Amino acid sequence: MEAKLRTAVTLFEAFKKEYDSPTCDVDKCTAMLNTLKLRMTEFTSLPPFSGPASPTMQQELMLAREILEHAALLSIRMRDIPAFERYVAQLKVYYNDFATALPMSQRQYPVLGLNLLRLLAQNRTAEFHTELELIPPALHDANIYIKYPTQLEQYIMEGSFNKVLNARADGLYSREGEYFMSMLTETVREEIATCSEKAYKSMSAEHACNMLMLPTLPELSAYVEQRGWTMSNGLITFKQSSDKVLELPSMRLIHETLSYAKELERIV
Amino acid sequence: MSVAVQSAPGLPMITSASGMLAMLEEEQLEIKAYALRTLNAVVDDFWAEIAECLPEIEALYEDEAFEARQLAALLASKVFFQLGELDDALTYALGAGALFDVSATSSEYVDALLAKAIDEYCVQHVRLTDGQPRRAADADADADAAAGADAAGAAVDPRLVALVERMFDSCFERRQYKQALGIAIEARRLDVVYRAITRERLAAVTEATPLADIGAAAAAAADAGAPIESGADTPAMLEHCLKACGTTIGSREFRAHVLRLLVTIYHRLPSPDYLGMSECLGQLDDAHTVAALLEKLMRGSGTEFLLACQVAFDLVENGTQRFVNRVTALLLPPPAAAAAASGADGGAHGFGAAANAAAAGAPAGADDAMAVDAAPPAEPAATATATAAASSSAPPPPATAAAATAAAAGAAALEPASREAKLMKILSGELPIALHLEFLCRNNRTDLAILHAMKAAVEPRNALCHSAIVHAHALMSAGTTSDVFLRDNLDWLARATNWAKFSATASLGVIHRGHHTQAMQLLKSYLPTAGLSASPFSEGGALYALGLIHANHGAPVRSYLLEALRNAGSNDVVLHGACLALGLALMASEDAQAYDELKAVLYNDSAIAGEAAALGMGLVMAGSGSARACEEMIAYAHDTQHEKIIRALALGVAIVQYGREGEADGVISSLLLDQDDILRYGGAYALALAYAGTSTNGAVRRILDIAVSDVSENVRRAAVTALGFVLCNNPAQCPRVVELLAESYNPHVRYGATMAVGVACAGTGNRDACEMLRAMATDSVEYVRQGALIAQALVLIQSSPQGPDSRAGQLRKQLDKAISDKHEDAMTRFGAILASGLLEAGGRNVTIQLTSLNGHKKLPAIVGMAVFTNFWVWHPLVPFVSLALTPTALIGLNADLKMPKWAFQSNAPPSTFAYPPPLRPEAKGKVALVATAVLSTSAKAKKAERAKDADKKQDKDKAEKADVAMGEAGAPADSDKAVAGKKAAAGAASSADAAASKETRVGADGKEREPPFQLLHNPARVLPQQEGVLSVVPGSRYTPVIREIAPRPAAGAAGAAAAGAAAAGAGGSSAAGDKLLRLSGFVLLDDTTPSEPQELLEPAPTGGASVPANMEEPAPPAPFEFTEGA
Repeated sequence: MEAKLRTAVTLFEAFKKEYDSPTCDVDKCTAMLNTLKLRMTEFTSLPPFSGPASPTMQQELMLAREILEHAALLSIRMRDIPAFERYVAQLKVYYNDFATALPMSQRQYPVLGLNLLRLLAQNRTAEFHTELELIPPALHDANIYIKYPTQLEQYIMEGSFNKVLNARADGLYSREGEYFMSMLTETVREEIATCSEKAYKSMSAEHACNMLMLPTLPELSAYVEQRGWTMSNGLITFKQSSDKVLELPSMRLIHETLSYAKELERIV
Repeated sequence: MSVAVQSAPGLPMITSASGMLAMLEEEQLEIKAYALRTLNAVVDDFWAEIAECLPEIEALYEDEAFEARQLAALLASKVFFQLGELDDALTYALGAGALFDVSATSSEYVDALLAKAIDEYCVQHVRLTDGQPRRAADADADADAAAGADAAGAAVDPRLVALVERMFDSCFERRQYKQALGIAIEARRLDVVYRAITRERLAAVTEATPLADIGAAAAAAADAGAPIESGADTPAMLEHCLKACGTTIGSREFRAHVLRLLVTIYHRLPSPDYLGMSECLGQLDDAHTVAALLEKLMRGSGTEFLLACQVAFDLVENGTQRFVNRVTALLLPPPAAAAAASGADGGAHGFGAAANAAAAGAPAGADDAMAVDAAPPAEPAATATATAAASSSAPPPPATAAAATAAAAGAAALEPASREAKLMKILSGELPIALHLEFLCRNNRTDLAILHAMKAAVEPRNALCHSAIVHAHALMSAGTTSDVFLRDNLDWLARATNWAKFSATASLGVIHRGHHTQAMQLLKSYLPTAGLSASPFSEGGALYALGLIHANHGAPVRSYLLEALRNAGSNDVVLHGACLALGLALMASEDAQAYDELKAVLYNDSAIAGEAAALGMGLVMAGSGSARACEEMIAYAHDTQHEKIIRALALGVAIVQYGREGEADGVISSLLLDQDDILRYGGAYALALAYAGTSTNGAVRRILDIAVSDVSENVRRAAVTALGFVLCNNPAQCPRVVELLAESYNPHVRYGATMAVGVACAGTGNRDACEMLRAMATDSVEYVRQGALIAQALVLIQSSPQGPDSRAGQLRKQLDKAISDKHEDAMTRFGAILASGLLEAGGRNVTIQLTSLNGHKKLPAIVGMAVFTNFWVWHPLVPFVSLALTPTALIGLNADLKMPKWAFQSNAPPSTFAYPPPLRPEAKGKVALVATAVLSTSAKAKKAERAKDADKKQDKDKAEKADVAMGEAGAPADSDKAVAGKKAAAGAASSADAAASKETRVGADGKEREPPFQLLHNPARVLPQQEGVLSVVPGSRYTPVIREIAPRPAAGAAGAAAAGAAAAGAGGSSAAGDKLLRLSGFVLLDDTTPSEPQELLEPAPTGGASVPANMEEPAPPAPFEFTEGA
């Protein structure tokens, strides 16, 4: 076990070096990470832990956690959202269930914050709040990594989309967060578009440009096409949403009632 | 170690499987496999989370290239199991292959899935075996099968087969043979049945081999193989399997296969079990093999002859009349050979060859048997002889062959002619009936005080109650030949007029049931005689009585009854009696002539005569399933206008379909779909009888459907009653099934429920049944109360204990109250009187058994009971219940078929199974006094006093009885002592006796103490509940011929007298403390000291003389000592 652990540690050192270097070769990192993950499957003390405690358990757990954290960050760098989600899911076991057994990781809140940002960017508000609940309320304002997505969410709720755009420039998550922030802009735009559809029948192109935060008209016309609206003479006409008619399943109800009556008749 | 795990530094259990689930989506296969492994370890806790990822897991399983796909299947299976989707769980468990560990006990998942897999396999394999000869009428199976009908006959999923095979293997490894056997039977895997019993695999047999081929393979193995080196439990397994045949196998066809297999295995036992074999063959309706078997045993050693007798007794008890007649015909020598037999024993052997030849050659079907019966009989034995000659196509064997066999057999065959005669005496039913009669006369404990009390309580002008008392008396004295009460009360009896007179005369038949020798003489004054014309009602009743006396053994009166039928002319009442009598006497004989004559009466279209004729036709053809008879009867039912005739025809058709199970479905459906509610009524009875004693789910479902949906109340009542018949092999189940129906708003359904419970639980004393019926006895509708009382009597007949506080005692009080209550409805009082007759039936020495010990249905009992339940429409049908009465006797017989003095031990305090205390003479006064006002308090006080008296009396009785036991027990012990070489055994016996007497003394003095066991003397009354505690007295002179089938000394060794004595000594010591294996009925006894003179019991006189009119118990014989010189 010791030996396996040691090789894993060495490998991880090499990976970190590559990861941290400014000229990071993403493919090389991925390859190294894959090897590391395989090594991890050989660890005996990882969750779901069963059997006797091994002396190297603490080290194994910490190493595994660190590998996963790096893997999560790397996946953002590679714009691989599903992978990021997977790693976060795996990390949660370490953050939640093993919180008492392991010293706190310095990357815990950045990772969690990124995760929150991701949810926000994907417009998964419900899940966002679920995740937020799992973080102690005291930290919502105190911890900058958590505070940032929390605030962004509030802006969106308020409709202060400008503030969202401004916040983007803040650059807290300079490197990893940037990707999510651009996603977030898209999300916000979608939101506005959906609202406009409901609110207006038509709108002038300029106005729309402004509202949708699109810099130029060609970009607007591309977007209009994507949404399936029509634009003519600088006027955008939104498509009409068809109302669904509520229908009573009368035949079924009659049928059921009759069969109940029949059954009642047959009760001895 | 485990402590270390728990205290591992702050290692909490994980709270979510999401991390592991995330790994499933990794690209690397190793990681996916790793995730599956870890998930599999936590699936019991996190299945809910995992369930969300089922599609991925399923996809992994679908991926043929993925090497851990079986693991994925196992995981998916476990999740589906938790989700309650057993079908999917099973599919994936099959996919998991060997990873699904069948031997992992204590896992709920494995247990549930195995059960599911076995169920599934059973369904599929049954469909496979059914696939070849598929019956279209298999209604209930079809409903299920319809979905996969196109798959019928297709092979079973090989993975499922593999799984079940693994399960069988693991059963065998863990020695759970019975479990394997049960599953094999359920799944119709004949080869595994074979393997479970013999522990041998059949070569070249797979699960898809047709059943017939497996049977052949087993037979081939039997021919090739040596006798089975049995584990000692092979016989036990065989017995278990035989029992299962009677109780759990629903398909007639498969049952036949299993029975054939059992016969094969019985043959291979080191000491073949002829009884089991004959039982199987009897069920298979294979008269030829039974005859050959009897033939072989008859020629064998002394013990084998005893076995032959035992087999014959069983045949008579369990077989139908037709079957026994066929066996008899096959056994009897043709006249030529018989003539030779009288001279030399060589001739007798020649006859044996002839019988075998006939067995091999002549295919004797039903027609054959009909032809046999069609010949005009003169005297039973002679008839059989003549008809055997007529039907046997094989010529008498050449004398040379006879000589050869004679040389081989040598001197072993002693007096073959007399042996044959003895066997015939049994097979003709003559001896068993005579012995039962003897037992009932000898032990008659009819309490006439009860009758007197009833007579006094009922107002004289009430005809209904009057005839009820006559019926009750008949039942109470059934088979005891004691008609003292009737003779003492002739003027009272004379009040019966018209049909009541008919019933009263018929009741003589019940009282003298089985009294063949004097039947004609007894009934002479009532039977129709030429020239004299007495009342037609008494004439008809007398004919009916004759039928009851000869029920199911009609050969002696067949011609007389046919003659009476022809002479009756157009007198409906006499015809009625004659038709019923003919039906009873020739029950299940398939007598073509009788059937045709009855049909002629039917076609006269007279309501009364036609009714009896229709019933008689059904009885004669009972259980034959004859399509012709059914067609004719149903056709006429559509023609006639008389409801009585239609009802009787419908019932008749039902009786014809008795025991036919699936074969009867066509007829049943046509009856049930008829427009006429009376025919549907018959349909319900047909379901009852065709599936009687099978507990088949399909039949129960159909019956329940009719019971709740038919528009006619009669049909509903019949349907609910039918439940009792179908479930009669499973008494404990019936009260539960009927429970809801018993609370129906419809009184007819409630009445049916009482009857169903009464029939199904008859003679069991089942507690649930009693409780339910007790509650129903206070119903608001009079006929429901009637039914509840009668049903209670059926359930509690011969139940133990019989004290005043027992359930039976309570019922007695309840009945007394109902009978003497002037304001009670006449119907309820009728029921109460009938119930008290049933409760005390047969001189308190009979019970009601619809199935034999091994769970085989008794045709006369079930049919009799079914007709009895029709007393609702026709009171003269009440006596039919006497067909279901079985003496609770254990009768020991020696090789001469005589009853020797012999005792055995019942390991329970005598009071447990004692007779109920007789009604005290004061009680008579008390009942009469009820008319005057009696305060409840004084009544209570009186009751308490009476109870005290009864207790005292009981104690006195006990003391007396104990003394008798002590005295008589001494006698056999003394006689044993005289036998050389058996001193040790005798010592043991006498010390046991001494212990008994010591116990008894303490019991007599200390009042509270009772001896823990008692000695019962041949012929003894043995209650069904008592059967578990019987044992042979160590060292007694006679030992039952059926013993624990352990390896015993070869029968051939017991040749010379000296060697015989030694063997007997060994046998005696091994028999010490043996459990008695044959617990009721006839037991053939092996005499261990044949040279000693035997002490036989004197036949008891028949007739009323045996019971003194006042109610004292017969005085015990004085103690005596047996000396050898005597």
